[in-house]
Amino acid sequence: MFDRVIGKSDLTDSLDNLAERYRVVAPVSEGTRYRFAEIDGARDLDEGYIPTALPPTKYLRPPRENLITFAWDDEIQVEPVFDQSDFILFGVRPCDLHAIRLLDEIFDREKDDGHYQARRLGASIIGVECLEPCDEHCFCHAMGTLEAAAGFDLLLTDAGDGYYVRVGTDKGRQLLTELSGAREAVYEDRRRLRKIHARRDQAFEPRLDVEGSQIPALLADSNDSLLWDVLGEKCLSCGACTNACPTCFCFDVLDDLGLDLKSGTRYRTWDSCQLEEFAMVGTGESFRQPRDMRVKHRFNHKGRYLVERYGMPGCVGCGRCGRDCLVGIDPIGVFNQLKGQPVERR
Amino acid sequence: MYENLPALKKPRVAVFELASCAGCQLQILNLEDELVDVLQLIEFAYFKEAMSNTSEDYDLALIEGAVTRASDEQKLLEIREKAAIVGTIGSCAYPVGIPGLKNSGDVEAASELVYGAKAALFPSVPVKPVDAVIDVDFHVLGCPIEKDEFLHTLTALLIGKKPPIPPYSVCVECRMKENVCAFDRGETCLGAVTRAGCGALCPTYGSRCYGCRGPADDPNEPSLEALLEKRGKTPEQIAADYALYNGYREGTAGRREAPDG
Ligand code: SF4
Ligand code: SF4
Ligand code: SF4
Ligand code: SF4
Ligand code: SF4
Repeated sequence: MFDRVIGKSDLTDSLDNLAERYRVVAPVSEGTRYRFAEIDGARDLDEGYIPTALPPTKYLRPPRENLITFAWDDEIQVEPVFDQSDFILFGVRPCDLHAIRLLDEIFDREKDDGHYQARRLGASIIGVECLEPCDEHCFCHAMGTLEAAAGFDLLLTDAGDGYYVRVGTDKGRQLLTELSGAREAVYEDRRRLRKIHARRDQAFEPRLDVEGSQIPALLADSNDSLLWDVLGEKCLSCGACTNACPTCFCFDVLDDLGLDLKSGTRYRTWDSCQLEEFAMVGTGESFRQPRDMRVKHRFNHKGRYLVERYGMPGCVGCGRCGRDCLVGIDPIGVFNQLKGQPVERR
Repeated sequence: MYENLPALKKPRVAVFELASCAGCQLQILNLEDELVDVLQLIEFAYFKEAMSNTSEDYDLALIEGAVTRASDEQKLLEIREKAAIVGTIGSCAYPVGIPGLKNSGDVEAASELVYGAKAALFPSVPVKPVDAVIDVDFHVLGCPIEKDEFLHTLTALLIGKKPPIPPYSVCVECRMKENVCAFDRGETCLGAVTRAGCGALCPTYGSRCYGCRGPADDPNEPSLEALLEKRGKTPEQIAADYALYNGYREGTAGRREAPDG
């Protein structure tokens, strides 16, 4: 009942209006690749984008995030830092919407993390459906993340001359009033949407030799695969993959002490299981020191542990890690090789 | 737990210079907004670039520059004897920096190039970083050092903590900044094997990492070297690339050989 259809130029005007009154963040092109950044109006954004260098989740869990400020003189003062400023996150792809669902599950429902919750509350998320694969690295279709089920307030689908608009939340319903020129969708629009989806499903060729639902079992069976040794030798431990991943959530907590030695800021910063120090304990030993173990852990965490724990895909198939890896460690290749050579064991 | 903070002493600091451009000492003086606060925390006993009075009584020694003469080694041994804590500042002191370029060729030839007929008056040895001669407690890295990192090191020392130094590579910071990777621009880069902490300064401004902060804790050099070769670099070019800042390897008398193949 709430679905709308909005003409393309009406959407452009609406975005321009929104950008005048709110902080609007959207994908912008930067030569050969894309980035989520603040825009001044619709002219800045690039809708045809493939997944950005860093995921849009950088606005929900920034690379560096202040947690508390502290000071002590006669008594100790601690102030938590929450950033609850309203902003619109426009143009989020289905893979990233699935990632946001997972982060919600972890930081909001499971951990009750006030810093995440504040940012999440401030965010209004407008998703955009994918109708064809973005490039050779993505495999959302196989992971079941091409269909955006939740994680958005509004979801747009390109219907040629305009967009079909679906509402995901109450916040999204309120946002509808910002879409000037939109009309209520009718039966004919919905029929068209079904056809668009049917065409879309044809456009996504299977890229994995294994069903997404079978990946946890495949990984459980591949613990002794020689492939991990091969990847361990190649991996640069550069953390490009985990920095780029929309579902990665690991962080380190550090202090910035002022020159008075009595006040400062405690902040968190992204951490990565690909780095040697990640699994190091107080006495200096690391229980996951060899590089092949670190690579194996990442694939298991994404493809298996998160699925087992939350019942949601831990890897949403966005392809960013494979796109950014300088030595070509790409989940499509890894899963297919594990599937193809399960007998090669150490 | 706050009661357990160590009593704050005001350490006497000496800043020494070996072969270097003196730019890292200048970075300390460039702390214009913080210098007054810094002087509440420490006292300079010796700092030739900043003041004329000198004292031989110091607790903390900061050493800038590389070892290029036999007499430098003697000087370092004396400093280590006197100071409770010894740290280096800048790439020349560690990993060896620009002075290390001398190790790419013949030491005598280098002396002659610089001093001509008077070369014999200036005896020179293969270049070494400070920690090849004495034990060093911490490094403040960079060419030149980062002001913030210097301050963080200072505050850590004053509260009895290990000075912070990232164990991972420049790439980690570079990707977090969403820079376009040098390799994606058709260039090459040493960021993957170089220690972070500079905030990926050079790639952020459109250049590439030259390795000025020395190796990360866990560099995968063979893999990066294979990648560099794949991108068309010759073994000589790769060796020269390393030699710009990392022209010293332990056990080589300061000489870094070109890799095989
Ligand atoms: S991006 Fe590639 S090389 Fe870098 S840590 Fe990840 S798998 Fe290793
Ligand atoms: S593991 Fe790779 S493909 Fe999967 S969600 Fe993360 S970045 Fe995307
Ligand atoms: S364990 Fe590794 S792969 Fe998993 S979320 Fe953390 S950094 Fe990402
Ligand atoms: S530009 Fe250099 S430091 Fe940055 S990601 Fe690429 S290789 Fe790493
Ligand atoms: S990017 Fe590399 S060369 Fe530039 S400052 Fe950092 S470590 Fe030094």
